[in-house]
Amino acid sequence: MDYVIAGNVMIDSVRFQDGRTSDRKNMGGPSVFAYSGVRVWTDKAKLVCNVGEDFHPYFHEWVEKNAVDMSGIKVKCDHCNHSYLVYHEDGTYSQDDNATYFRSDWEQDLGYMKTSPEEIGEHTRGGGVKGVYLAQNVDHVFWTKLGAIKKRDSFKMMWEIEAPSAYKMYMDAVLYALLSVDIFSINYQEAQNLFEVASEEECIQAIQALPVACTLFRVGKKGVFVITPSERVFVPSITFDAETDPTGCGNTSTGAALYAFCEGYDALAIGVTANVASALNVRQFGVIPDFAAVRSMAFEKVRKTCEIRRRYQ
Amino acid sequence: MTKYLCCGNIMSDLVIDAKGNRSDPHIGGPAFYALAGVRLWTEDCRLVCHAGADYKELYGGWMRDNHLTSDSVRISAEHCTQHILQYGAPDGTFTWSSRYGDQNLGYLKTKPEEIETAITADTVGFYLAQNTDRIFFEKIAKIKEKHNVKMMWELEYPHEEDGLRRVREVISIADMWSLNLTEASLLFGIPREKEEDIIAEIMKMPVEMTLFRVGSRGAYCVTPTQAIFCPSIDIEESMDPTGCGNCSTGAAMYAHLEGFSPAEVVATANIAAGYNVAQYGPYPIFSEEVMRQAHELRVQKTKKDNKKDEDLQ
Repeated sequence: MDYVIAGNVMIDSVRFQDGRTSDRKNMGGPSVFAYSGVRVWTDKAKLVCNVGEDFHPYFHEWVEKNAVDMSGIKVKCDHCNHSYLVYHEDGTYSQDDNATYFRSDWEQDLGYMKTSPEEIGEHTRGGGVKGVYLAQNVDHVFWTKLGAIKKRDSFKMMWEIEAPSAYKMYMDAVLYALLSVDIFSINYQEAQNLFEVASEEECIQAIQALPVACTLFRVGKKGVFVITPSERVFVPSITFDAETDPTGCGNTSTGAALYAFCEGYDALAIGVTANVASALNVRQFGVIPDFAAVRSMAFEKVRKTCEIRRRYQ
Repeated sequence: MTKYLCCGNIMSDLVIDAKGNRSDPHIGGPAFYALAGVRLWTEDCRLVCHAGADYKELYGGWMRDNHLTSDSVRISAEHCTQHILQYGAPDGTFTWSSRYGDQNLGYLKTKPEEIETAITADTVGFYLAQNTDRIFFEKIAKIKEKHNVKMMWELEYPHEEDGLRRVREVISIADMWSLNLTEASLLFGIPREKEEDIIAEIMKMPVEMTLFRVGSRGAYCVTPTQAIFCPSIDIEESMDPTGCGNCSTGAAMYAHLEGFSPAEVVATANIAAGYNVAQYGPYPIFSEEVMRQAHELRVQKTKKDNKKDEDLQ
């Protein structure tokens, strides 16, 4: 297996300000979306996560259609974490306080279901894994353990920082985590909080000073910057046809960027790969439904977009 | 080799009493207080939990002073959970918030597999404060059957809507049960004042013994055929009730599995709570002298109860 995509799974319901709602509850969560961002390009990816027993109706059809390897998915409790998202006018979102959750300890369950370093290590042991994705906080012990596993199994690590950890007061912890990271992913709002700056340019300069080989800096609907210590490349968003639901676009593009980075793509191709995956994600509620159906189109879009960009550079 | 396991969350508590007085943070948490409840009577007990990297600094001294091993304590995060407990509600209950977040609390929850790892050939029982998750209990059932051990289940706050259904779904997996008056009233939908009706419902539950705690008044030991009340037992002046329920529950598990009568079980539980309430945090050192005093007190209390029974006859 080339890629291990780890972390939380959610069952999402979405509501927009114009009254639109998701067609049904859809599977989602950082790891599922990031997995889809890798699976667009390759079948050699494994989802490593903990779920509730109720995952089956939400996952079954997608698992069957896409021959998803289930060996990394553990049933740990009765219910998956069900997430009820409300989108605001400015594109940000929050949890719907009026939703009825399964139990009063929803946040606690989220922690109980987190993927531990040891669980990731079970699937990277023996080497041969090219890249691992994880959305994670800055817990020092977690990163010490994951760092040791990375050293043992020699994979490239993609860290998508979790929003509550992206604050300047945690900068030392962020820098410690980055010691075990090869490619980093952060959005504009998180970067503003982490570096306590306002503009994109200030964020980019601060990111460029981080001790990491590559960063996917996501600036919402505009697109992404791919930032290395020596260069920055902006890639505007790509659209295929429909723009239905942006939930998970950041995770999806981050997963795709991990794939492109590990396959040795240059900064431009990393950004385009990320945006193509994101464009496939926004077309529907929930995760990309059929990877085989979009793979050749996606590769062609990356090839053409990169070719055009390079021609006019 | 350990006879009694106390499994589950540990946490430091900062207590704000009804008058607004704030304590310093002190060590606690369900599994830890239950451990103290067993340790008053025997050294043959062990803590099974996840903890933060600050565990040794916070808990190490008490564990060392009381000759207990930390071999089944897994360091999994940066911080042990810290709770802020606010007393002052008219019914004597408290509200709480988690300093490092509920996710951290959930991440540090003890999993069935981890309890199994701690079981040795001479283990007879384990304590766990736990919700009603069916998948969790199914795993516990398999472990119990495999290792022939008994479970003391302290109910975590019951779900308000279908709590009783969920409890009934899993309770036969436990052997001993513990809940307080507020929880029982909510669970059975019976007003707090109708204690006899609540006891009648508890007696129908498929467990060998239930410790039914009625706050500062004391507790009942309820079996399918009888309910024995024992008023609170003061050891010293009452300082802080935090953890008394966990502590008495741990002691009740010990007493029941040692083959004590219901009157002895509830006296054992209340004596443990009496030591626990005398200070913030657990009783500091269970010396041989303290253990001997507790033993004598139990004999004395039980003799008195036996005498009363004889007089009534």
